[in-house]
Amino acid sequence: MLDSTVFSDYKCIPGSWDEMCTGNGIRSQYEQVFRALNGLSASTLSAKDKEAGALFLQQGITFTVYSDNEGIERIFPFDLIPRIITGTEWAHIEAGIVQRLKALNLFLKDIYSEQQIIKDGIVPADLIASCPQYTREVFGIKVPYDIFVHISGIDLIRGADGTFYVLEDNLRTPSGVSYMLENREVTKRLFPEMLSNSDVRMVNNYPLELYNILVSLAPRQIAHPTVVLMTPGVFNSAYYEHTFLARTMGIPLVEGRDLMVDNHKVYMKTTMGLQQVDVIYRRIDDDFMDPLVFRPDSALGIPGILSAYRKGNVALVNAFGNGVADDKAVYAYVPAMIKYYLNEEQILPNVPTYQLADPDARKHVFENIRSMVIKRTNQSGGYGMLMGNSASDEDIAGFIKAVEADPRNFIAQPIINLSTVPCFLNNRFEPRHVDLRPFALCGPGGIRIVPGGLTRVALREGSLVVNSSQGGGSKDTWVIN
Amino acid sequence: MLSRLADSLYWLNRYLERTDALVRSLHVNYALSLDRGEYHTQSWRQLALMFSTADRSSIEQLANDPQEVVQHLIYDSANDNAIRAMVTKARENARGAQDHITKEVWERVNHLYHLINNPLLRQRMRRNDTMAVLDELGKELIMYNGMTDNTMPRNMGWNFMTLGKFTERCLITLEFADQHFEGAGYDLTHSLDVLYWRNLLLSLSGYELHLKTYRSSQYNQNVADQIIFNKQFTRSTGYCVDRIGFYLQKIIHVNRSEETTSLLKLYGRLYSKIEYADIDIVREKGIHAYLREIKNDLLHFNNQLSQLFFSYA
Repeated sequence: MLDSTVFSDYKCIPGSWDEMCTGNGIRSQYEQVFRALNGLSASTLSAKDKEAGALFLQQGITFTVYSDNEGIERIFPFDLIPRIITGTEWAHIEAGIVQRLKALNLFLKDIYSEQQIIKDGIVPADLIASCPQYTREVFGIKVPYDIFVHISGIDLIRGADGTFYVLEDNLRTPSGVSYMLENREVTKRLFPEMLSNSDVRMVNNYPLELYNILVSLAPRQIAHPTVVLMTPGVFNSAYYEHTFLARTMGIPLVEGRDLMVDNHKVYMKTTMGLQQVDVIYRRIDDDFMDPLVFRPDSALGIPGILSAYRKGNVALVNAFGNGVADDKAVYAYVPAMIKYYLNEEQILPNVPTYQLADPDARKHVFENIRSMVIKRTNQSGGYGMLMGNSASDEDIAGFIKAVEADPRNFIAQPIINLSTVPCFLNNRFEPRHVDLRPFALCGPGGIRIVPGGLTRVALREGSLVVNSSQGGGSKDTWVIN
Repeated sequence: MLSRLADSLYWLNRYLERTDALVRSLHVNYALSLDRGEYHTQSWRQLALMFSTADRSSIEQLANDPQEVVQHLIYDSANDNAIRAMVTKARENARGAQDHITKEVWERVNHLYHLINNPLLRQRMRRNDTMAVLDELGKELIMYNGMTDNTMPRNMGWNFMTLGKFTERCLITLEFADQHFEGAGYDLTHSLDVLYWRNLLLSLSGYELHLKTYRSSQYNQNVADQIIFNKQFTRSTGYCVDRIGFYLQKIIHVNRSEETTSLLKLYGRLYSKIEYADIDIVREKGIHAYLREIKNDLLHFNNQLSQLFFSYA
C-alpha cells in the first residue's frame, strides 16, 4: 500500500494511533489526500513547503525574537499535510465540548454567587479557596446572559485506541484561531484541487460569529454599540492574531493607554474626543487588567475597569475570574460538574488526573513517575511540566522536592501517547504527535464550534509537547463530510 | 479614530516620505559623483549633515569616503535616520495600525522591511552593485505610494497619513533648498550654472520640470521660484502647504472645537506667507530668512496639531 517514494518508509509509531494509517492500510478519510500526495515528488513538496513559509512571512504572520538589540522575524512552523477528522468523529467532539462548556459556565456562575456545588459537597471548598485564580473581587457580579466563557479553546488528544480525551480547558484568552484560519488560506494556495475534491467544511465565518456574540453583549440599548479588541501591544507574541481578528471583524484594536474610565464608564481617546466603549474583547490576563485592583505595576490595563464592569457599564469577553475553572486541579472535577449541573454522563472523557495534595495519590505517582507527566496547576504553554519518560534523574528529584513543598499546585497524569499524523520533514513523511484545539463560541443563542480547530504538532521526533514555545508547529485541520 | 492610530499613521508616512527622499538623493549623488564635475566635492558631506543624526565630527570623518557615507545612511544603527532604522519604525507604526491600513499596504511595508534586512542586499552593495540596490529600494517606495493611493479608503486615517506625507515633504524641500542656496551664497541676483542646481533638482525630482518651465538663465531665481511657488511641482512648499490645508480642512470638518479654530488660523498665516508672496518679497527678505521662517512656522503648526490630535498617553 505504501509504495510511493515520499511515503516509502513511513512507519507508524507503535503504541500510538496514526490518523492516516491503520496497521496495514490507509483510513478512508485520507485516501483522496494520500492519492494526491503520492503523485507528487519530494522536490515538488519541498517547493510547496518553501512557498508556505514565504506566504506567512510576506503577510507578516510572524513573531519577533530579540537578540543583540535586533529583532528577527520568525514564522510559526506550518506543516503541509492536513489533519483530517471525519464528520462522525466531529459530531462526537462537538457534543462533548458543548456539554462541557454548559457545565463550566454554570460552575462559574455558581462559584461566584451561591456556591451550591461546594455546599453539596461535590467540589471541596479548600480546593477553590486555595486556587490562586479564584477572584474574590468579582464575587456577586452579574454578567450578561450568565455567560462567563464566551471564547474557549478545549485541548483534545487522542489515545492509542482512538479515543478522544480532554487534556485541558483554556477559558481565559486562548489563542491560535488566526492560525486555524490562515492555515486554511495557505492550503487553498498550495493544494487547491486536493481541498476542493475533499468536501471540507468551511471555517472562515468564525470572525463574523464572534462579532455577533460581542455585539449582543452590549449593555447600552443602541443601534451601533462600540466593540473593541484590546491587545497588550505590538510586542506580544500573539499580536498578529489580535490585528487579524480586529480586521476581520471590523472593530478597533486598542491598547490600555487608549482607554480610560470616568464615572464608571469606559471611553476611548479618539481624535474627536472621548467615545464610550460597550464591549471589550480583551487579550490581556485578569492580573494586568486593572492596576487599582490586581497588579499595581501593570501598565497594560485600565485603572478602574473593574468598577465599570461591576456596574454593568461595559461587557468583558471573557469574564473576569475564569481561571478558577481551567485550573488543572479543578479540571479533575469537571466530570462531577457535568453530572451535578446537567445530570448527564461525560461525553468526552478527562485524562485520569491525580491530585498531588492527596497523600495516597502522591505515593502512587512517585512510584510510577516514569510513566507520568507532572504539571503545575497554574501554568500553560508547556512550561512548568515534567515528562517522566524523558526527564533526567536530577529533574525528577527536583520536581519531587517542589511537589512536596507545595502539593496543591501540582497534578499528575499518566502519559498518553498522542496520535500521529504524517509531516513533511527532511524531504519525506514522518509521523509526529498532534493534539487538537477546537474553538468554541458561547453566545446568547447557544454554543457554536467552527468545524476543525488548530492541530498543533510536536515537530521534534518522539516529542509529546506541542506548544509553539517548545518547538511545536501547526497543521490545517479538515472536517470532511 | 483613536489618537494613537492617527499618530501611527501620520508617522508611518513621515518616515517613508523621508526614506523616499533619502533613497532618491543617494541615487542622484551616486550617479553624479561618477562624473568629475566642479560642484560635486561637497555633496556627500551635505547629504550626511542633512540626514544623519550622528555627531558632526564623525560625519566629517565619513564624508571623504562615499561608500562609507552610503553605508552610514542606509545601515548605521548610530544614525536614527538611516534607512533601515526608519523602515523599522515605519513598520512598527504600520503594525500598530494594521487594522486601519489595507492588507496590501501592510504587505508593502512588511516587504520593504524584509528587503532592507536581507543580508544579501548588503552584500550586493559591497560588491559595487549600489545603484541597482538603490533602484530597487526606490521602486519599493513607489510601490508603497501607489498601493496606498489605490487601496486606502479616503477616511480619517487617510487624512492623517497624507498630512504626514506632505508635512515631511515640505520640510525636506525647505531643508534641501536652504542647503543648496547656502552653497550659492544666498544670492538671487546673480546666477550659478544649471549644473550646480542639478543635484538639488534631481533630488527633488524637479529637473525635467525646470527645463520645461524656465527658459531664462536666471537659474538662482528660477530655482527659488520653482521650489517655493510653483504649484505644478509636487515638491514645492506651495504645493505641499496647499495639500496640508486640504486635509486639515477635512479633519477639522468632523472635529470642530475652539482649539481647531486656532489651529486653522495658524495654518492660514503660514499659507498666506507663501500664497501672497512673490520672488521680490523673498529677495527683499533674503532667501535664508524666508526659508527659515516658513520652516519654523510649519514646525510650530505641527506641534499644535500633534497636541490637539495625538495626545493619548
